[in-house]
Amino acid sequence: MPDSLLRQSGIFAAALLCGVAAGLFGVGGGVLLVPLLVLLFGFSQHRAQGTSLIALVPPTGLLAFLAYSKEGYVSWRVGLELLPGMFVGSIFGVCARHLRGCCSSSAPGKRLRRGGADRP
Amino acid sequence: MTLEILLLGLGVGVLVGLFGIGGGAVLVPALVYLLRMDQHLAQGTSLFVLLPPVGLGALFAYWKCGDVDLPSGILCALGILAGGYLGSLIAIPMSSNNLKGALGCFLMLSAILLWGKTKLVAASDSREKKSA
Repeated sequence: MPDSLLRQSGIFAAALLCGVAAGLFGVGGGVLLVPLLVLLFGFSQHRAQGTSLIALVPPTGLLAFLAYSKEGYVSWRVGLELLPGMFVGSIFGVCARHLRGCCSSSAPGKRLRRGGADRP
Repeated sequence: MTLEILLLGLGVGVLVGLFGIGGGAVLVPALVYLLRMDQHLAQGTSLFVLLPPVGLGALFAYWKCGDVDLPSGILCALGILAGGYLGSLIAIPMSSNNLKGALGCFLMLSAILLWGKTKLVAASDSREKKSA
């Protein structure tokens, strides 16, 4: 039990670090979270990506976003125009994964880690 | 212009589904170089775009395959929320130019982490094959 507690606090600390990067650079944080989950906590690549996606479902950037918008650093029009494409595109991205086999257990899925990212 | 932005969103979205990232890492450089936005404005806009769950469709597919660790995901969400505020406090007083450089270094770090891992995996793969 203390082992899993240690692991969980480790994951929280890693996420905190990703959050600092997210607020600092205006990114989602997933780009650092995925490699950290894989390298430090032994996640498979697919599992790390799925976990990163669920971590990004709640508006995790909210506090950072409020700080930026207070300074006027938000282009609302461009933001609104980007949204529909990103939503549709993310589904296309998954379809592309399906073509190569989606689940971590399936053999063709192994190609993802060589081509794009890594690990089973 | 509007069409360009719509297509940019589509392209970034594909990467979101493919790599399980938020999309900001691609979005910020694209806004700076394609739309010639100021670095701070690009980052604020990227954070705005990431507020709604754009990766929801992608998440569903990962969920079906059992590739989601829910407790870790919740911990990560909390960590990113708190850390995000700290990060924005650091970023806002910085000059756009320094911020751009720092983002470049950060992306290189992420890239090296992932790329280094592929080497390890290639090695363990060949070991797996031998034992099998």
